[in-house]
Amino acid sequence: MEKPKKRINKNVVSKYVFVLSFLIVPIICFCVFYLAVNINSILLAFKVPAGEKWYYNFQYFLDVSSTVLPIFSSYLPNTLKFFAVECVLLLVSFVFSYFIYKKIPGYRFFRVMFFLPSVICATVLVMLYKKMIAVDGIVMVIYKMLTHAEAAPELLANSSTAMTVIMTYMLWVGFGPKILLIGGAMARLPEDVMEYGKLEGVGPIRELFTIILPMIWPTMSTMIIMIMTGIFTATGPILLFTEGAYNTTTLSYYIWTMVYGASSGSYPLASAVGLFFTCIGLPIVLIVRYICNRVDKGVSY
Amino acid sequence: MGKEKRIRLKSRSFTFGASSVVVFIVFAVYTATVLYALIWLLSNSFKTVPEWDVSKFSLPKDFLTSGSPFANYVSAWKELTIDGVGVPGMLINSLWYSAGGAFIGVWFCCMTAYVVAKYRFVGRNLIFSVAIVQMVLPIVGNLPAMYKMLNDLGITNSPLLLITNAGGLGGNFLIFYAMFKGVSDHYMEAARIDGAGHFAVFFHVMMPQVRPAMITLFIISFIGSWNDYMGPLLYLEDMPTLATGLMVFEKNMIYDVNYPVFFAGVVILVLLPLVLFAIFSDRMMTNVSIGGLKG
Repeated sequence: MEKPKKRINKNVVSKYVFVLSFLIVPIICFCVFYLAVNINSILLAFKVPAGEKWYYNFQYFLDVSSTVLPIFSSYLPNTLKFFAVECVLLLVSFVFSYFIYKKIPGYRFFRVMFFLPSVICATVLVMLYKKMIAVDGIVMVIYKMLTHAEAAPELLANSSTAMTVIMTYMLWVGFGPKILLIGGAMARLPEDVMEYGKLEGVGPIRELFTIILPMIWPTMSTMIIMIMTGIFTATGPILLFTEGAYNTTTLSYYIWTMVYGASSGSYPLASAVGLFFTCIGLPIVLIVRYICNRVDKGVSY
Repeated sequence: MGKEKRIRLKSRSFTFGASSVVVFIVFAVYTATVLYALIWLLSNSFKTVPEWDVSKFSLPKDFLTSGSPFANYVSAWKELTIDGVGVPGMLINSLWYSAGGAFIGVWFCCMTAYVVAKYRFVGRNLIFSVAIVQMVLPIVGNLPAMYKMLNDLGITNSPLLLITNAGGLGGNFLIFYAMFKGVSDHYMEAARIDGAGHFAVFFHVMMPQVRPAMITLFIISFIGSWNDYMGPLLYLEDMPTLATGLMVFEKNMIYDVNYPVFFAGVVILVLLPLVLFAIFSDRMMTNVSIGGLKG
């Protein structure tokens, strides 16, 4: 009776040794670079220096809501504009993916072209985009031809147009990954369901929204949740375009400037801003996730 | 169908109606803008400075008649420097940062996903739940704490920074998890009956099943890291990559920059991702998918 018991124990031990050997590094990294970092971030948000000592209070949160006025008058609206761009990109990508799925002439080539900007460094794309919209760039040459204007406007060096220029850039380069994921989900749809719908006289719009959308809902809902997760971190490449000038600073860029080239004395305020918006964002994401799961009809194929 | 022309393409039918014409035109215009930007970059990287000064839009001519058609590329390779680091140094930094980060990130995700998907042990469900929670938590502004942590550990400006990629969770974890779940346990059991140990089963039986996805995820991660400029700018100040180096170079030399040479440097930066994309585009465009985040 003894021998089998020993063998079982040996198997269990070897299994746990194997599992631990695979998990030990990820667990340590998770504890250090995720758990500890986020706990430190929360503590940092309450840490107020007083001489050589530190006190923990809510001073920075009062600063966030009162003294750091640009956060609500400028940084937050700018962030929400980029969030809106993400939502538009998702919707347009969904429609574009449908046409690629329906094999519009040249669809393979277009799919590659939509993804191409995702392969190229943002540093390069922004530089090229800036050259195109510069006063002597191709866009302004066409603008002057069409309007017969003598001088082209400096779109990036203008507070009323800079944000629009950056948002347009985001639309220019942002389709690739979304079309890839949505198109991938559509490509796996069973052909016979589409054929059946066609025999029933289902039109393209009904096919898209009542047949395809429910069937690819797990992919769509994940993308919606991901976009919602980034509601307060949505940003364009502000550093590459304006470095925050011309009223283009977003929350993410603001926090970045509090770290890059700044003294550690600015970290607590940056952490407080982050924690403040994390607390607002969390219930929003949970509600959206709940709604997404409720909407999911659990279509299996 | 009225005036609409019906085109039959394989098993999926396509109705070439008014909406499709509009979308086709939009696609064509979009493609033209992307191609124009890249062709403009390439053509200007071959121009001489006088040619660039005369016209930003003409095609280069002098490079064919001059002794060395790739003179701008040679100059970029030798002359573009940031804090004493030239293009070769930036290239090396980009390579280790991208390849190392991608390999570590994908490898640890694969290992974590394998044991969570195929083994029953205490904490297994917790790890999966953490992976989901981590993805949906809208954390804003932990950058100062991360920067402080990495500085305290002394791993900024060092290849040791790559260890931060070994977390083993995230999107890649979920992709591998779904794949390993889809592989029948019979393969494992058959190998175990034949006397294979846990490691042998993983390396010789399970790994080959996910190798195509692993290569795809590696390439996507590699390109992502290669193009990353915010991370290296913050954590690798003394070791500029090509992405950060050329960005800083352009900002520092905005009024006195030899643009054709600079564009040649930019072409060097985009060349490797474009070559990888050209080789693996089919794999990248068909192997990537995500499911739901229930759990």
